[in-house]
Amino acid sequence: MKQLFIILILVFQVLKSLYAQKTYTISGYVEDAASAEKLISAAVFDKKRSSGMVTNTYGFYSLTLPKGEVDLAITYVGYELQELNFNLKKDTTIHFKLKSSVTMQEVVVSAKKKDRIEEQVQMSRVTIPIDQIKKIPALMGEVDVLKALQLLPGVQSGGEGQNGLYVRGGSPDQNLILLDGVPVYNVSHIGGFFSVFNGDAIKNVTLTKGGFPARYGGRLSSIIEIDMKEGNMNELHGEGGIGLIASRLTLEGPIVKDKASFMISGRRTYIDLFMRPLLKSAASSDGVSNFDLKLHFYDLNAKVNYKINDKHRLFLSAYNGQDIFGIGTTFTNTQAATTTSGGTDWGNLTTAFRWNYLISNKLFSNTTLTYSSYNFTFGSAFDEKITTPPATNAFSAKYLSGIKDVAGKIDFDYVPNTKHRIRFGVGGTYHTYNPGAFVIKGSFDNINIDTTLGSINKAYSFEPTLYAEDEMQLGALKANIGLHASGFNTKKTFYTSLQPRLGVNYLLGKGWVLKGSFATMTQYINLLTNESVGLPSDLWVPSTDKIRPQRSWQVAIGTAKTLGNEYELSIEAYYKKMDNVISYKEGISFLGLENDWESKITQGKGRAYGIEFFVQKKEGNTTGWIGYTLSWNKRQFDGSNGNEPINAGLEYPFRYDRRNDISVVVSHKFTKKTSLTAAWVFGTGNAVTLNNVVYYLPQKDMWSNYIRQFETATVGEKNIYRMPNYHRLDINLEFSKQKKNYERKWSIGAYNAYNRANPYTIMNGTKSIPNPAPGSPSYQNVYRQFSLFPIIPSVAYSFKF
Amino acid sequence: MKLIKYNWLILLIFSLMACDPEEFFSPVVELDIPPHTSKLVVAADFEPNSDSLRVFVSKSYGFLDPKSLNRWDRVDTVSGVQVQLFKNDVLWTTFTSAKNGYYTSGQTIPLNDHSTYRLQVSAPNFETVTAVQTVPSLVPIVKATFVSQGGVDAFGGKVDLYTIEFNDPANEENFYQAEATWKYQFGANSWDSTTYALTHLASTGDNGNETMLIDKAFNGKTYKWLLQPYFSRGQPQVGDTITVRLQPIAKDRYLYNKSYTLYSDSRDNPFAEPVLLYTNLQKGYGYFTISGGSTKKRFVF
Repeated sequence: MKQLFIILILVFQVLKSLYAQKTYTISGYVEDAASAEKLISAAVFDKKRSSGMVTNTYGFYSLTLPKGEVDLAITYVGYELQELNFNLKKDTTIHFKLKSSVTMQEVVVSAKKKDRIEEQVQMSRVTIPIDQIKKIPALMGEVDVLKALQLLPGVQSGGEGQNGLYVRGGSPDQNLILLDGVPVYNVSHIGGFFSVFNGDAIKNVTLTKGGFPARYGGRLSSIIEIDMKEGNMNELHGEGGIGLIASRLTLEGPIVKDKASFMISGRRTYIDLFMRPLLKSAASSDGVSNFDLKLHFYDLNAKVNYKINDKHRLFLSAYNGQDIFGIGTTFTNTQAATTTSGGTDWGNLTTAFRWNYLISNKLFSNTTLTYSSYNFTFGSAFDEKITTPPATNAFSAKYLSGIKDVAGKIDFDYVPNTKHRIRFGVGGTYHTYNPGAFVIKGSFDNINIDTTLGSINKAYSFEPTLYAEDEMQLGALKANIGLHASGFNTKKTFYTSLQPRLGVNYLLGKGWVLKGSFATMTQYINLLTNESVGLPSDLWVPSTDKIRPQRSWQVAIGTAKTLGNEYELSIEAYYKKMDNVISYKEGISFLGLENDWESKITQGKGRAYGIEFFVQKKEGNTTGWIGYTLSWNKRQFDGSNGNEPINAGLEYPFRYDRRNDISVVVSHKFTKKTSLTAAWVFGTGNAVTLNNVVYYLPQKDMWSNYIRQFETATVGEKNIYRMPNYHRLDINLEFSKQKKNYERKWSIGAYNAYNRANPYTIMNGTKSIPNPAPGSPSYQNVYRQFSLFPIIPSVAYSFKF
Repeated sequence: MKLIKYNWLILLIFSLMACDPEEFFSPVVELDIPPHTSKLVVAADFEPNSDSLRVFVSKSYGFLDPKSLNRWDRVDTVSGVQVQLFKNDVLWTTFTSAKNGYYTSGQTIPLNDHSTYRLQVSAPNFETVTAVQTVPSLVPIVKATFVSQGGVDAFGGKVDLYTIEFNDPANEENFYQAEATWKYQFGANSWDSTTYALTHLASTGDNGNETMLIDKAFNGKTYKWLLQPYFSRGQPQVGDTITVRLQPIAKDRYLYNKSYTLYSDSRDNPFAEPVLLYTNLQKGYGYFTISGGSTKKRFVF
């Protein structure tokens, strides 16, 4: 009773301090003056009281201040500072329109007023403006959002040219990639060499790799938020380009000025347009009467933004992307007409409807309804019509897999005063899984085949979530305390998870800050993939009664400081423990269809720890960053809980256990029209398992009963060898020019500029021995490295109006 | 044209492209790997009541060692090998050298012997290899049947069906192996087929693989094992004999065979996860196992 009394007194004291003075609220949006695009994480700061906040995902801010004079500064990287001084004597709504500083001769922003890194409670979070991403050299000149993220510390790439992300020891399925809040399940074109995100349609990219606030959940390793452009509210604009493999066009503008806008963006590859006539001609000369070739991918993004009034705003966005590869021929002669076809296609469809409702000047809500689907099909067919005697033979095989989500959620953003910012929300996702089945049908000489391999039964699950978090300021200490709760139903089991989250930020003085965080995460869906390369056939499957949800906890500490007014430095150390991570069992091939997927995998533990250094320069003629990560990443499948062991149950290095990972990105503007960007990466070679011992054992021959020696060339321990180190330099030179009605830009670049033969994989092989001595072997075992990309030059033309 | 100002860069790019494609895309690489220390390789699978015990001893090679290739037709025997079998930690028999790497003993392991056997193999310049086994109890066949076209395989086709019924001992983990041999006529002679003639008729999940079984799902109960014959010589003819055999096996035998099957099935598949071949030998490669006694059922056609 006494304790309750003390708590009530404390609560009263807090409330008293909050409401002791008469306060009023300033609220509104911060947006780009030219396009009316909302600016995310723009800082709104009262210099007089040294308090402020940053805008949320929708550009909204709310600042409750004592009555009297306020001296506001509104800042955002790449925009002019805006200041406003007035006497606050009632609740006030102000929408700030910031002008881009691109046209300014010199950017003069007082660093004191900016949203400096040391003032952010959130750690392990990086936002990269799309303009910076566009400058980073890319394979064949195709801007790639995900590969830009691979250049950040704590984020590693998989194989050469792949866009899979390995964040702080995690695997690609442990990243929740959200396009306008909708999960995108397959982010790759052509097996991972290009990402599905068209840079022209993107406004902002944010990566959170640790210290997760309670509003995030569902994956163990990272949250990647990719926001599409909203569409220019004021005038019609467009941009596009022609590259080596694809062309793209984006249009945006007002539907009703200052009221409604649209954005539509498309990208398509066109190698098929050149190859089809060539191959058709070659096929025709071989007697093929009909020839068809499908060989392209495309992306289509669209968004409509409607401002009903100052309180209500609606967004409708959609994305569709598809890879289509196929070939079909018809061959006719006097005996028969034979038609064959085969191909594969895969793609995502996402849609999101969002309703922003400003309930009061302190309470903002966002209601979201989303749909996301990913489908993969692979098929081949054969049809033969024999003329004499008349007969028909036919065969078809089709593989289908996919996942579909229907989700809804409502998020609230409540800012009672400058000391607290409370976010809470509730949501749910209904998943439908198609776990992969091969349907085979055929008819040969009146013998019919009709069989299905794999599982044709769909699986369903529901995943509810609930969260609350409070970002608070207590003197020099800032903290974000929250709780994320989630559940997941399977056939017989309902899994639940309570995930506490904590992030703290303590100002040490002289601009240094000490940051710390703790987060637990739970993941209920898994991607069945092999470790080396992400394929479109990779399968999303749910936790089941047998397959338990993946769980993790991560603790991180770090420090940050703004050096001078231009450089940001952050150093973070982390330790992450993961349970129930999945892997294929020993000897299992991800291509095999003979077993159901649950029997192919085993579950175990993982742990990763390391330290990350990051220095970034965001403004000036020279911008860029240097990132360095020293890390360890291990897995252990010890056979507990009824699982099968891997590596005899011993802990082993994960394939992407990369001790040293360095990235240097420098962009320099020589003149107003000419700039050069270079990116250099270095990474310790991936851990690999190779045959290292050979011995012979007697075995009974299956066919003859004769006992002979069988060679056993086997592995010692898993992943004990290292590929050679990986390093590569990419460069991109831009020449831009303002024409009368538009701006044009030529980009000339080179991927792997110094032609390093980087390892993609290493396999066991043999090599002949020239002139062997009599009686000596004529060849020997070797390790052979396979590389993918030599130097690849690129040239691209783009325009903007 | 201002592009010309940067022609040095374009020239550099294109000059670097002139590389040897083969050497670029698949060069032989030297990895920083420790030298291989050769270990003893032992293969020993004893059965109770057999006339003699045989142990095969050889040695391992590093993968890059040229000697590691083409050894299937000859055995690299190890000199100075001593093979000893201890029963309940007392030396029970010492094996004598036969030929081609085999070592034999005239001792017989009794049926249903619950002693602990330790095999020890040593040789100069090699680490001594040891492994321990106990003899699994005999589990007799209670009933066995053959039904022509009595089973349905995974593709819906009708197949011959053999069943083996037995009582699994309660409260212990047991492992079984089923085999069949086919005595067939070839001209005037009769020949025995291989002993790898049965497969599971239906998937038994975690119960096992191939012709081995673990009693996880039926511990202490009567179990009817459904088996499909996999004969390479067509259908048995009148006068042929099929002999079905049930044998309790050691856990180590089950684990070794399972990993060897996985290894064999995946060794040339670059997409398969690597298999660490199971061994129960300390400081060596291979296996030492003792199987239980077997019971047989004969079907004459």
